[in-house]
Amino acid sequence: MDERDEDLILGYLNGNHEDLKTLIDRYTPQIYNFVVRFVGPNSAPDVTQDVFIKVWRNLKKFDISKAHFKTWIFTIARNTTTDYLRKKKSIVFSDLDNEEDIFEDTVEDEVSLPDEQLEKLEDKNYLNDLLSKLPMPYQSVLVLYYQEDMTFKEIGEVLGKPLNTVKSQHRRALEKLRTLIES
Amino acid sequence: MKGSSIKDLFKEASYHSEMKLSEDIWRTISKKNERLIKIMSWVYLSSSILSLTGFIFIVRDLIVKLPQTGFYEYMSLLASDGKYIGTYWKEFMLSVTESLPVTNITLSLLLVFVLLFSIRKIILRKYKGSFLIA
Repeated sequence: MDERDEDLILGYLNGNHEDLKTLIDRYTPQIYNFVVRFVGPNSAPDVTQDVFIKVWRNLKKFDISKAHFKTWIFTIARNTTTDYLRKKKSIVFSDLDNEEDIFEDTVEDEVSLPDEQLEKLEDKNYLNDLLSKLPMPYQSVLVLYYQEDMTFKEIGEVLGKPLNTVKSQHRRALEKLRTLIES
Repeated sequence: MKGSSIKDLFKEASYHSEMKLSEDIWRTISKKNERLIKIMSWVYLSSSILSLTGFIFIVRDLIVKLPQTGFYEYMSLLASDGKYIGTYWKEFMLSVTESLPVTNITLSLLLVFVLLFSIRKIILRKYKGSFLIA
C-alpha cells in the first residue's frame, strides 16, 4: 500500500532516508512533465534535480498541517522554472497576471471542447504541440488541472493567483486551444 | 463525460522522464548530504573543542578574580548577619551583583551554550543521518 506523502515526510524527518527516496521516485515524473514544457528536454532533468535539492534543503521547514506536499513541491517547481527562465531572459509565469486579474466571479468552471476537436487531440504529439503554443500561464493551468488532478484552488496556490484568475485562465486556455485546432 | 475525456487525452500526452532520472537525483542528494555531513561535523567538532577550551580558561580566571571582588565576604554575611540582610535585602543583592565579574560569567554561559548546541547537533546528526533535519 502506498504511504501518504505526509507519513513519508515525517519518516524522513525522523531519520528514515528511504522515505525521501520514495518521495523523489513518486514526484520525479510529475515534476519533469511540468518543467519540460517550459525549459525544454535538454534542461528539464537539471531543473527537475534543482527542484528536489530545494525540497531536500527545505523539508524541515515544510508545515504538514498548513499545506499539501504536492502543492508545495509544484510551487517550488514553478519558482525554480521561473528563476531558470529569468536567467535565460525568457518569459515568466506572471506575464499575464495583470490582464487576468480583471475577471470576476461570473467565470464558468466547466468548459470543454466539442467532440470533433477532442478527436483531433487524440494524437498526443499534436496536443503537446498545441500546448506549447499557449502562453505559459495557460499551459500551467491546463497541465496542473488535467494532468496533475489539482483543483483550481490548489493551482491558485501553486501559481500565486486568486481562484477566479485561475478559473478565467482555464477558460481562456481552452478557448485558445479551440482556436488553434480550428486554424 | 467530456470533462473526463479531455483529462484522459491530457494524461496520455504527459512527457516521460528517463527511468534513471530519479536515481540520478537521489545519488546527487546523497552526495551533497555526505559532503555537508563532513563539513558540518568539522564545524561543530571545532566549535565544541574551542568553546570547551575557552570555558576552562574563563572559569580558571573566574576562580582567581572572585576572591578579589569581595564576593565571598558578602556571602559570609549571609551566615553571620542573616536578619540584617533580610531587612536590607535590596541593597545586599545590588552589592552582590556589583561584586560579580559579569563579563566572565556571561562569556562562560555563552560558551556553555555553544558547547551544548554543538554536542546536540552532532548527536542528532548521528541519529538522523543529516544536519538538515538534525
